[in-house]
Amino acid sequence: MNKILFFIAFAISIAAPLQSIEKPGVELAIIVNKDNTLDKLSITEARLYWMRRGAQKNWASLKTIVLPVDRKGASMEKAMFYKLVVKLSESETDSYFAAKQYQSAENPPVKFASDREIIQYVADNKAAIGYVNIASLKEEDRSQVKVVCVVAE
Amino acid sequence: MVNIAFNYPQTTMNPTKRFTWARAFFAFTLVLLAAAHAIAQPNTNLKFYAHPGFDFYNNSSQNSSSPYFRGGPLVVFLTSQISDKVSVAGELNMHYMATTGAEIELERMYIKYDWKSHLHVSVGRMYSPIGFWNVNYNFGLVLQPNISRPRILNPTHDGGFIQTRDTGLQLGGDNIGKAGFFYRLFFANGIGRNGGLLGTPYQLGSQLSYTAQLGIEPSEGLKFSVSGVINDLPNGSITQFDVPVPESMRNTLMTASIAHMNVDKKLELIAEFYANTHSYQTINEKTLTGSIVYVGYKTSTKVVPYFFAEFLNFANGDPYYPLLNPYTNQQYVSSAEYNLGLRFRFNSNLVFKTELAALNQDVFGWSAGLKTQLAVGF
Repeated sequence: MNKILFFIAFAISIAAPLQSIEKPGVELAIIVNKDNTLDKLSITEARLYWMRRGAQKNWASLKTIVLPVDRKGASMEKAMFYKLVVKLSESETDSYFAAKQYQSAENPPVKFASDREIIQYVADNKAAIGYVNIASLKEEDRSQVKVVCVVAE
Repeated sequence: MVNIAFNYPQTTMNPTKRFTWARAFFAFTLVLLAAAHAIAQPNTNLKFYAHPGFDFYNNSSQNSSSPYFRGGPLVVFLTSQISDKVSVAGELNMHYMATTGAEIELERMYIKYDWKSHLHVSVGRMYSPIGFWNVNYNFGLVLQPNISRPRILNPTHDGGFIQTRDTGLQLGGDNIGKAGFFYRLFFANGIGRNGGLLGTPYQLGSQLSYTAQLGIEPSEGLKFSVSGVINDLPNGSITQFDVPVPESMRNTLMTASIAHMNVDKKLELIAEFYANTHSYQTINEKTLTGSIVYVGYKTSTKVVPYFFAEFLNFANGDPYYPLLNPYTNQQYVSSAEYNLGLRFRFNSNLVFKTELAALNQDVFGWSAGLKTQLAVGF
């Protein structure tokens, strides 16, 4: 019996570091265009802007409506963003944006399949706000987009 | 409470558009073009809405029971953010009514310029800014909390009573100050405009309608508002029933509304009151009143039990209304309706609703019913 317990404990001690190597802690970067005058957002503020809620429907300094950007399909980044920032299920969020679209002609978030496409869209649109894995941001991207919030589990 | 309608000759009944293959082809082509455009443009979004259902009503005093399948319309809704400040919305409704046949109607088509949060300008055809329900729920019933649109808000082109959508110019602003003040000013064609593009230009009618809505949103999703509409109808103006007004008159509408609909909150509430007054030169003033109450509670992210009630009260002998509604072939009667419902959201695109209904109509008495609806948006 002791041998079995020792074997289980040994297996766990081996497996635990392996697991941490396979799933390193992911950090999300919430990004806006370089022309956006905001340099920092709390998670709550980022949520309000991304969801275009209340007065956060517009960028006051840019005088334009906010353009949220989302990921297509399922991804680790998307799951993390919805859990930690939006704090609603994807279905609830889709309903929320569908209602805003139907009620006031506000387009739902533009969706892209990769971080690279999101970075490019945010770089090209001064009103955009999106999220990417911070590891996807290259040095040259930082001259075109700004990280205003970092989210980690 | 029974409405005794003024007896005057009815002109051509029902101005609505008969379905033709040419129209079907046009609509189909438009949808295909819109779909192709939406795929090509990331800032263009296309949605379709549909909501078939089944109703069963029983009225023991009339010795009648009525099972009825509702086909519902197919609604195409398109929005496009064509620049930082300019967006476009269009809504096309294709449906079939037993009395008028298949129809295609343009519900909305407007261009909106968001100058800043406190001022946006829209021009085109849009929902009149009256109350909360009318501007938030119409044909995308997957978004509407209950099954049926309130009777008081039935579209005028389907025989409804008040002007719920119109063509014109709207100024609006939101989130002003700490109280979240918002306003809408709408200058529109109103009831009584004749002909349109196909009419004789100098006979289009001389009076616009004027609508104002003022409100506050002290916390997100909690809205208090009042609205008013003034629409003068000179002698000879044609009503939405395609008949002339009995005499020169003023049509006014006052509404008051409280709504609490917030994605983060469990309690849902909408309460509204409408008073539509017809002021004539020689005939006594007549007022139609309507009130609605909706209360729902999110027991989970998917399930919402709710209660919905509506009261509609016609003034006796208002000559504005024909003896029979030409769109439904039914009398205009006062009614009280109570519904206990359950809404189940499978996902954002598929919602099932069911209601136990009790409806009391003048002349017809009480009916009990079971209503169901499967609403989709895709």
